[in-house]
Amino acid sequence: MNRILKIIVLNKKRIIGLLLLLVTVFLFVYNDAFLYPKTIVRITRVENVFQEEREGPNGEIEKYYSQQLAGKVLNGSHKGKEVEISNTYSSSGIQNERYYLFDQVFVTVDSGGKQGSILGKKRDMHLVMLAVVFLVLLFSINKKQGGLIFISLLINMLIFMFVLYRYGEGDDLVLLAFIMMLVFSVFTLLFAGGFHKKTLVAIISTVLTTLLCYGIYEIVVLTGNRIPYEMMDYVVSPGDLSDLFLTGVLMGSLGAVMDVSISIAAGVSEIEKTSPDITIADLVKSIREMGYDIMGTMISVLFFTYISGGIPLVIIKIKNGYTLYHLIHFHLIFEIIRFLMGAIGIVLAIPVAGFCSALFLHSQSIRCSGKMIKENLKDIKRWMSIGRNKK
Amino acid sequence: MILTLFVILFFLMLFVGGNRGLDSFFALLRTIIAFTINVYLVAWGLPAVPVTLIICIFCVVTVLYFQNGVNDKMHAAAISVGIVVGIVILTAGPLLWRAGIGGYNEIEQYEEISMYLSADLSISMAAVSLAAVVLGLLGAVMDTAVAITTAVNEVYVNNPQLSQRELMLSGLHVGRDILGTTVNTLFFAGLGESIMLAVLFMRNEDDLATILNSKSLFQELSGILVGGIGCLFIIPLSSILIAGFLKKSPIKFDDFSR
Repeated sequence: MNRILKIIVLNKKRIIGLLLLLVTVFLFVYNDAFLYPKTIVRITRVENVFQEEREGPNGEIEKYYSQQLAGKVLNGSHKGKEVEISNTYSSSGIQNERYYLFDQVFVTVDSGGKQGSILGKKRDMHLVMLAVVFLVLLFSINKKQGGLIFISLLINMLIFMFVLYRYGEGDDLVLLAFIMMLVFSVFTLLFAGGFHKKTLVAIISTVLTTLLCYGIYEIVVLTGNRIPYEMMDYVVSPGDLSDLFLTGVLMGSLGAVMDVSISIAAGVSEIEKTSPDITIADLVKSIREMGYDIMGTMISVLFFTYISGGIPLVIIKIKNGYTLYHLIHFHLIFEIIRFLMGAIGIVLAIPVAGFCSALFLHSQSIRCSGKMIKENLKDIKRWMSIGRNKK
Repeated sequence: MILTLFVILFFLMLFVGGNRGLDSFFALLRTIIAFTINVYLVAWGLPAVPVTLIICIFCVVTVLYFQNGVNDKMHAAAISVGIVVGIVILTAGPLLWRAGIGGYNEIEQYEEISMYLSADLSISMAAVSLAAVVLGLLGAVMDTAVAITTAVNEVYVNNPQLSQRELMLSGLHVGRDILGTTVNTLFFAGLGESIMLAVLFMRNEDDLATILNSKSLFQELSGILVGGIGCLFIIPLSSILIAGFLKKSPIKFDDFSR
């Protein structure tokens, strides 16, 4: 406890600075209504009245409440006026929204300027708070590394948006996706590993593994049952759903594959640095050892990350009487395929990255391959001279 | 399709990992079963957040203690995971609640399927969404914690005269190396998941104000951001805890035999 207090006292300036930053950002996004063209109301009075009970499909009792809200308009032509809004919500909140005191909401105000109806909650404040806390933590753990990660995330976002824009203009999605993934892996790995041979190895192994994943995916899709793409969340246009899904799947596994590749390449380059005379057999052994450690935990990371996103909808569907089989094959199928492809990518990346780093980073194999290339060149020269003699 | 991929995954894990690959595969199966039980318990009407906490404890125990043994490094990892999950529920929970994370978002609300699914289920969807965020964070947080505590333990075994402070610093140092890759994994997983949503925003020609305040974007991003925050927060926490554990208690013999 004393130690923590000491740390706080020592870093007083920095901590106060961070707190000031947080408060400033919070105050700004709390009062940024002037930036919006839509009318925004801050709710200043809430009255909830119980309305009725409705029975659900399994005898659940859902309680409905009506809300009488009053709030102050924060921007636009009605600024400063008070408007009355009415709303209903239920205990589950599946299809409706409950509003609390001091919430900010987008509204349309009727011509009299007294009554309003809600369009939606203003969520930028909450989103910005989460993002700012994330960035503050990122930078406080390590300024340099945090900055690099931040820049690489930013660049990747921009590339992603640019690719979406090109796709909107009508370019072929799969081709774009492959170019995008190449650019992603080059940038991300350069930022993670710096200008070093291990980065090159990691890039090569990432590209190879992603191509292998793509091959497996295509074969399985061709031989298996049709995927019910129309059941996907956020269905846009029925034409290219399979391509969109494929891009998402490969992109998801790309992150994990890059992670494994750079870990193994960095590990091998570290081993080469400390013991340059290591034999190929020992090297393979330590690559396998690294692989074991990565595999289990990375796969469970992907599992939790992907499948948890589907929980809310799945619970609604279970309550409505869907069976487990139906859920897995028609509703959770997209999350499950994303997860399985990511896991396959992780496991594949271990031997591929190991092979690439042994080939490029292991000094003995470099010597060997150098010798081989020299001899091949000699052979080629000999063949060429034979050809010339024949003429 | 799913079955084929699952079989491919099984054989790959077997070939690449051998016996330990098999172990990881069974650990994955255990997690899947725990997950399914969790979903069904919540669907039967038990409160979402407490049930999820119990399942979290089960996952922590099986993943940490069954796979890595009962020792100081796992105690430190388990305690730091517990603290992070607690802090996330206490701080991010109210924030997500107030932001209205639960229920259908603008897009799902007008999809065909939500028209004929009953909405009178009397389960608080905000609590379910919070539980989903906590579960989503759990994997990445456990991964980071275990990586740090095992690395610090390794440093300590090779160099037992290091002080508590030096051990903590070495934990932070390892954390920096892990940081980038974990954040990237989460980031790309999220990007791959949200590509459909991004295309939809583009097709609808929504303006930035609409996108920033939409529930759909918030639901996608909050999981990734909270996961990232958890991963970052656990780096100093688990470093401090493992340093404390190693310096207070005498070294156990099973640490040497490993």
